[in-house]
Amino acid sequence: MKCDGLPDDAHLAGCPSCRRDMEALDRIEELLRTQPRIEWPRELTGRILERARRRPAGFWIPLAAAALFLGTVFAVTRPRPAAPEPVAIDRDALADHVRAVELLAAEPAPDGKVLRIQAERLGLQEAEDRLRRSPVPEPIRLYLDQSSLFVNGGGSNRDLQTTAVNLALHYDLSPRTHSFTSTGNTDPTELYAIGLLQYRTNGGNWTQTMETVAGTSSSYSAHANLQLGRNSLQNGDPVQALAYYSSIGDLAAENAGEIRKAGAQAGPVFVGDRALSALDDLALAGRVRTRSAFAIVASHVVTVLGPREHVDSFRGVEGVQCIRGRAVVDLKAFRHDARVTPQAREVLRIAK
Amino acid sequence: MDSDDAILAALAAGGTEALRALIGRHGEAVLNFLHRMVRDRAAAEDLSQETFLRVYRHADRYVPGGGFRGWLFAIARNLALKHLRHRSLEEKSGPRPERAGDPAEHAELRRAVDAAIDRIEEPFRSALVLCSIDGLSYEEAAAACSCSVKTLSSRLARARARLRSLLAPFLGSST
Repeated sequence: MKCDGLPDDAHLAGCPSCRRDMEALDRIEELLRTQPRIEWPRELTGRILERARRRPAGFWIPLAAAALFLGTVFAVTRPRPAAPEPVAIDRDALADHVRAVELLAAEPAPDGKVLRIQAERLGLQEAEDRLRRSPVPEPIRLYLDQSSLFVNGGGSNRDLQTTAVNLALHYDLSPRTHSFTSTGNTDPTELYAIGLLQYRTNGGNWTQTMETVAGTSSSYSAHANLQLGRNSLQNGDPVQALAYYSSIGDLAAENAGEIRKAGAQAGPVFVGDRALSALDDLALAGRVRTRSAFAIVASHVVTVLGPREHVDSFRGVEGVQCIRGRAVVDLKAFRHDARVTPQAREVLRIAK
Repeated sequence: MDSDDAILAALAAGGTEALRALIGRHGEAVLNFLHRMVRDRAAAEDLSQETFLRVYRHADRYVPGGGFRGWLFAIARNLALKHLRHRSLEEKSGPRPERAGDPAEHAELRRAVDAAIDRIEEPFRSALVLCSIDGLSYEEAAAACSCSVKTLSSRLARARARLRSLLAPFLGSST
């Protein structure tokens, strides 16, 4: 038997039944190869190029110069028996953690309950000025940079979390919530995305579900992240599963088997400039082993995040800086005869 | 510009004409892959548009020599799966392209093949479509499916077995 499940020639020579099956398979393969195809519509190229010209590739506003500003405000009256209405914002910008965010002036929705802010390109100060002039009390300001969403503003936690969860759900951002943070100690986006997932899955009372999530107990978050990790693994996304597993704290020890499985499936992980920030913790001080080291690759610099034994093997090597549990390797300066672990070397070889 | 890597480098520098070249090379393959995944021509066109825009926006993240087709189809596949998650199961599929000049019995078999492909679940369907229809190598298809080549082979074997089973009445095979 060959590696793709098909019988080899030696077997076929002596098995008429398998030969008939193979002939049938060959006919199927021929039909698959000659399936009628849809022609590419020429106007589609024009539409794509038009959209691309409106948003240049590689555009980047430096974090220090102007935290990218997206003002999205929901003013939802209380009590809230139903889930808040979604808000129209630039889907592409949010869904991709895009570097440039477009913002227009605020306008109230007809019923006065939901404020919608559309998008155009603005600098941070001008966007702040526009929001200040908006009629909505206690605006929620969202600062979006390349990898983090900072939630800062007036109103109760519930406003912040409502805002965050609308973003997460409407634009399917929940898989990315590990990159969201807030100015407080909680992570409202993630918790509320979890709450909304629960609400949509299990039904029940919206307000009670949100209040449960608003309790922000770390054990709740850990259990919720464990479930999200399992969902991701089932959906064939082991990299995302590992991102969730990195936030399950003490639950990791009793679930080490499935974490190992995710690690084995993920293999060496290259995530560009999207940081999976807690993966060295995922190594659980040696309690979980994966067959790969996790790395961020940016041009000729590879940041190896873990597991710890692989990071430690870079200490003292030329061309490497060990910073806060990470090994930042400059491939141009790195001594390739340095004695690092085979797994770390494999990551660098793939990264080159 | 004669290689995908060179085109990607030009894209990363902001060249929209490079995007045109990329679409010319791979657009039809992406569109047909998406059509087979989501079974809706309009949606497939929208998703194709989104796929190439994402390639354009993230061209600087592509590592040269990393297998562009695998990367491209990974983006397309993820968009298709996301679309399918949000779409109602009750929505009907759109009409499929017919091949002109097909005799009646061939047309019937092709419809049966189409229906059988639709009945193959993810992730096995992706493997079948990418390798057997779109002609990606195992390495490219594995990259597109975010799995190892071994896993892809296994999925492909299962997809083929399922296809054989579903099409047995048309092929007179023993499966």
